[in-house]
Amino acid sequence: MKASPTSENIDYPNAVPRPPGELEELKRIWASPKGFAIVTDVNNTNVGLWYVGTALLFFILAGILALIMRTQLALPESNLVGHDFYNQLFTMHGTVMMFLFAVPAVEAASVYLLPNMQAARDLPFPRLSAYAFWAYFIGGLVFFGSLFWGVAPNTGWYMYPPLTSYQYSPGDNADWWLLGIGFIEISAIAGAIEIIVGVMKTRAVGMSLDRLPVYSWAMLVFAIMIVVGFPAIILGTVLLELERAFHWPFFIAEKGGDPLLWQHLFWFFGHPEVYIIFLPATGMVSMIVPTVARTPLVGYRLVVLALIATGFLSFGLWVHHMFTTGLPKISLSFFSAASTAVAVPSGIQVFAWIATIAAGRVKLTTPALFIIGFLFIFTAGGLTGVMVAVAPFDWQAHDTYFIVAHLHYVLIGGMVFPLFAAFYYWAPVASKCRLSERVGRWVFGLMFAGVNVTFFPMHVTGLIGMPRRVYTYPQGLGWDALNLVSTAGAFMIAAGVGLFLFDLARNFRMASEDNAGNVWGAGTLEWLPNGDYATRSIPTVTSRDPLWDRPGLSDEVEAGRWYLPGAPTGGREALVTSPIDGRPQYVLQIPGPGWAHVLAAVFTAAFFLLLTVKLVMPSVVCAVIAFACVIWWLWETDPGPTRPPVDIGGGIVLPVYVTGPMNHSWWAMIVLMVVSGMTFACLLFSYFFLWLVNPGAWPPPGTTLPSPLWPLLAGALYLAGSGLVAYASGRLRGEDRRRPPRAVPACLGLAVALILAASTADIMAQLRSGLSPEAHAYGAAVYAIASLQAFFVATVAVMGLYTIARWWAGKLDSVRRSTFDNTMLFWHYATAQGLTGLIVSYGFPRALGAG
Amino acid sequence: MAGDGMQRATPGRHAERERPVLRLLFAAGGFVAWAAQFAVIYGVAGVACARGYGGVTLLGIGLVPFAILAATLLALAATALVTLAAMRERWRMNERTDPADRFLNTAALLVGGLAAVSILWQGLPALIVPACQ
Repeated sequence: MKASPTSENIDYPNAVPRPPGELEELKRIWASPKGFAIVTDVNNTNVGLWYVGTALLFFILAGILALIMRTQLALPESNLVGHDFYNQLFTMHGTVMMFLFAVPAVEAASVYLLPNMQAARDLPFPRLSAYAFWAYFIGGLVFFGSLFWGVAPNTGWYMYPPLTSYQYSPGDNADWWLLGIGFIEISAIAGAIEIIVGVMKTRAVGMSLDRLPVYSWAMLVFAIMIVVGFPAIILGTVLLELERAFHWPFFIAEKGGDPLLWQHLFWFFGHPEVYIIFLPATGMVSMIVPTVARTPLVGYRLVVLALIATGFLSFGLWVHHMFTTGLPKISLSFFSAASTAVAVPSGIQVFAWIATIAAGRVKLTTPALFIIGFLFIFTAGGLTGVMVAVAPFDWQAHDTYFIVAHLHYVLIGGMVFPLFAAFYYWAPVASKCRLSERVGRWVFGLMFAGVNVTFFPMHVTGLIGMPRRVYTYPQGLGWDALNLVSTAGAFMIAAGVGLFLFDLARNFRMASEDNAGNVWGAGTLEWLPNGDYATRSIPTVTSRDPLWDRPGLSDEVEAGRWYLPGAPTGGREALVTSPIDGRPQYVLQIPGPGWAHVLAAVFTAAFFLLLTVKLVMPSVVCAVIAFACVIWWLWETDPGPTRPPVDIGGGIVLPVYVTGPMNHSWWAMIVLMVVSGMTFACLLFSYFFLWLVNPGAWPPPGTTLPSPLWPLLAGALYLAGSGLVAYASGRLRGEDRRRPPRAVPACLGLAVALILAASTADIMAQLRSGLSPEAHAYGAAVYAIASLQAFFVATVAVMGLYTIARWWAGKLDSVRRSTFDNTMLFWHYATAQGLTGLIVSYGFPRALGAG
Repeated sequence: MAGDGMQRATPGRHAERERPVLRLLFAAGGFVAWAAQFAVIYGVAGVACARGYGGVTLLGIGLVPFAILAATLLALAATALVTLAAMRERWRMNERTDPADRFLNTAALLVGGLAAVSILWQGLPALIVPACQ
C-alpha cells in the first residue's frame, strides 16, 4: 500500500500524447447550455452550486427572522411584533433552518463535492439531483412567501396536534407546513438515493472501502439515515393531513386517537435529523483537518466506526424530546441510556481530530479557525446535551431557554461552523479566486464571539425560568439584561454573515478549468485539475491521500494518461465501479441537459402548493402534467447496449450496459424499497400504537368485521399477479435480443388487472362492512393501511403499463430489460406489503377475539 | 502494472460477487443486534405498562425486567457470534489478504466491541429503575 510508484516505472493505461480533438470532444459533450437554457443543465458542478447558493439564501432568510425575534425580545414588554406574527416567526425560523437550509445545504454540498472527491464524471442520476433542486427551489421560495400573506405555519416547527388539527388550526397555515414541507422531504429522499448509489457505485478505480474519503463514508451513513428516518415524518404528515382534510381521527383522544402518536412519528425522524445534518459536517471536518494539520487523519477506522455507531444509536434517542409526556420511567431510561451512549462516537471523532491537529503543524487559516470554533462550540453543546439526556434534569429545563441554548450550540457549532469552514476551504475548487483570508478571520471572529454572546446567557435565562416561544416578558424577572446581551450577540453573528457575503461578492467567480486550484496543498481527488467534465482521466487510487502519495498524479490525470480520457460512447458517461473494492464494472451512459425533469419539478411543486390553498382542480391538472413529464423523462433511460463494449485504457474493455445487481438503477430501486418499507413499518407502528391506547375497543364495540373470504381473495390475487410477472421474467431470458413474445406484455397486463382487483377487494370489503374512517381511530387506521396500499398498487399498475409501452415501442428485450427488472422488484415488494397489510387489518382484530 | 491497487482493479463482467449489502450489514452486525434489543425492550415495556402487566412475574422476576434481561443476553450473544466469526476470519488472513476485506473485518470487530458496551448500557436500567411507574 505504502509503495508509491514514480512515474518512470509504471505503465499508464493510456498513452500520451492523446489523439487531437479528444479533449475538445470531451468539453463539447459536457458543456453547459447557454443563455436561458442553462436551467436545463444537469451537470453536478452547476446544479451543486445553485443548490448550495439556494441553501445559503434560506440560511440568510431564516436568520433575518431570528433577528426580528431577537429585536422583539431585546427589551421587556416590547411591541415590535404581535404574538401571532411572533408565532409564525419562530415556526418559520425553525422549519426553514432545518428543512430548507440544513438538510439541503449538506445534500447540496455533496452533489458538488462527492463526484469530485471520487473522481467521478458526475453522479449516477444527474437529472434526479436537478429535479430535487428545482422542486426544492420553487417549493421553498413559495413556502417562505406564505409569511408575507400572514398565512405561514404558526404552531412550532414540530407541529404538535391537537393544536395543529382542524379544530384549533382551521386556517391554511398548518397545511402550508404539511404539504410544503412534506414535499421537500420527498426531494431530500431523492437526493439521498442519489448519494447512496453515488458513493457505492461511481468511484475512482481501486477506491476500495478502506480508501474511501471519510466524507463519502459520512454521506453514505447520512443518506441511509434519511432513507430510514424521513419516512416517519412523511407518514406522520400524511396522517395529520388526512385528519385535517377528512377528519380521520388519528390524533384526537375522544375518538380513540392519541396526540402522542404524532410526537413519536415526528421525533423518530426529528432526532436522527440532528445527526443527519451533523454527520456530513463531521465528514467535512475530517477532510479539512488533515489538510490544515498537514498529516493524514489519525484513526481513520475509528472515525468510520463512529459514523456507523452514530447512525444506529441516533435512532434510539427520539423519546428524549418527550421526557415530560408521562411515559413509564423504565421507557424513559432506555432513551436516557442511548442519549448518553451516543456521546461516545461523537467523542471518538473529536479526539481523532484533536490527535490529528496535535500530530501535525497547524497553520491558522480561516478554515482552521472555523474548525477550532466548531470543536469548542459543539463540545460545549454536547456537554449540555448529556445534561438534558438525564431525565430529571430535563424535567426542570424542558421548554426553557436552556434548551434553546443547547440546541443552538449543537446545531451552529456542529453544522454551521463546519459549513463555513467548508465554504472557505473548497471555494478554490469552484471559484477562480479563493476567498479572502483577511476578511475570513473577521467573519470567524464575529461569528464565534456572536454565537457565544447570544447563546451562552440563554443557559442562565433558561435556568432562572424564561420559557421558550414567548413573544414578550414582563420587566423585573431578572431576564432583561440577559436578553439584551443575547440580542447584541445575534447582531454580531449577522455582521459576520454579512461580511462573508461581501467576501463572496468580491471574490467568488464560478470557474471550471480556471479554478484557483489546490491552494492548501490537500491530498484528495477533488483537488485534481477539473473541468465541466470533472477530471480529464480517472486515476487508480492506491491510498487515502493520493495527491500526497503521488505528487505527479495531477499532471498524469490532466494529460489523459489514466482511464477513460475521452468520451468513447460519444455522450456523457460515468465509470461504474464495484461497491467494496472499486473495480471498474461498466461505462454508464448518463443523460445530458433536458426540460423534462425541470418541468416535472415545476408542476410537482405547483401540485402541492395549489393543494395547500385548496385549489383542487388546478392542482390535479398540474399533477397530470408533472406525471407526463416524468414519463417523458424516463422514456430516454434504459438505453440498452447501444454499442459494443468500449476500451477505457490499460486493456480494460467494459460493457456500456448491464442489468441486475451490478446496475445502478437496481441499487436505486432497492433503496426505494427500503423507503417504502420504512413508511409502511411506521404505519404498522401507528396501528399497533393506537391499539395499545384503546384497551377493549379494538375494534370499537359494534363493529362488524368483514368475512375472512375477502382478505383470502385479495391475497390470492396479489400472489397470482406477482406469479405472472415472475413467469413473464422467465420468458424474457436469453441472449438473442429478439423481440420478446406477446406473452410478456399479456402477462403484465393481466397482472395489472389482478393487483388492481386485489386492492379494490380490500377496500370494498371494509366499505361493505360499514366501517367508517371518521368515527374512530380504528377505522382511520384500517383505511390508512388500505389507502397506502392502494397508492402502491396504483404506482405498480402505472409501472406495469409503462413496461408494456416499452415492449410496444421495441425498447424491451431479453438483454435491454432494466425497466422490466425494476418493475418486477417493486411489484414483489407491493405484493409483500399487501399481504402484510391484509394479515394485520383482518387478522389482528380476529386474533384479539373480535368478530 | 504498479502496486497491488492495480491488480485489484482488474475488470470483469462478473456478477456482484462481492455481496456488498450483506458484507456491510455483517460489519455493522453488533449494532443490528443493538437495534433489535432496543426495539424489543421498548416494545415489551410499552405494552406491558400500558396494559397493566407491570406486576406480573416470571421465575420470581418481574415480567418487564425479565424481558429486558433476556433481550440483553440474546443481543450480547448475537454480537459475540458476529465478533467471533470476524475473529476466525481474521486468523485466516495473511499479507496477501485484500486490504478492503481486512478493513471490513476490522470494522466488524470494532463495531462488535462498541455495540457490546451499548447493549449492556441499554439493559442496565432494568436493574435500577422500577418497571411501569
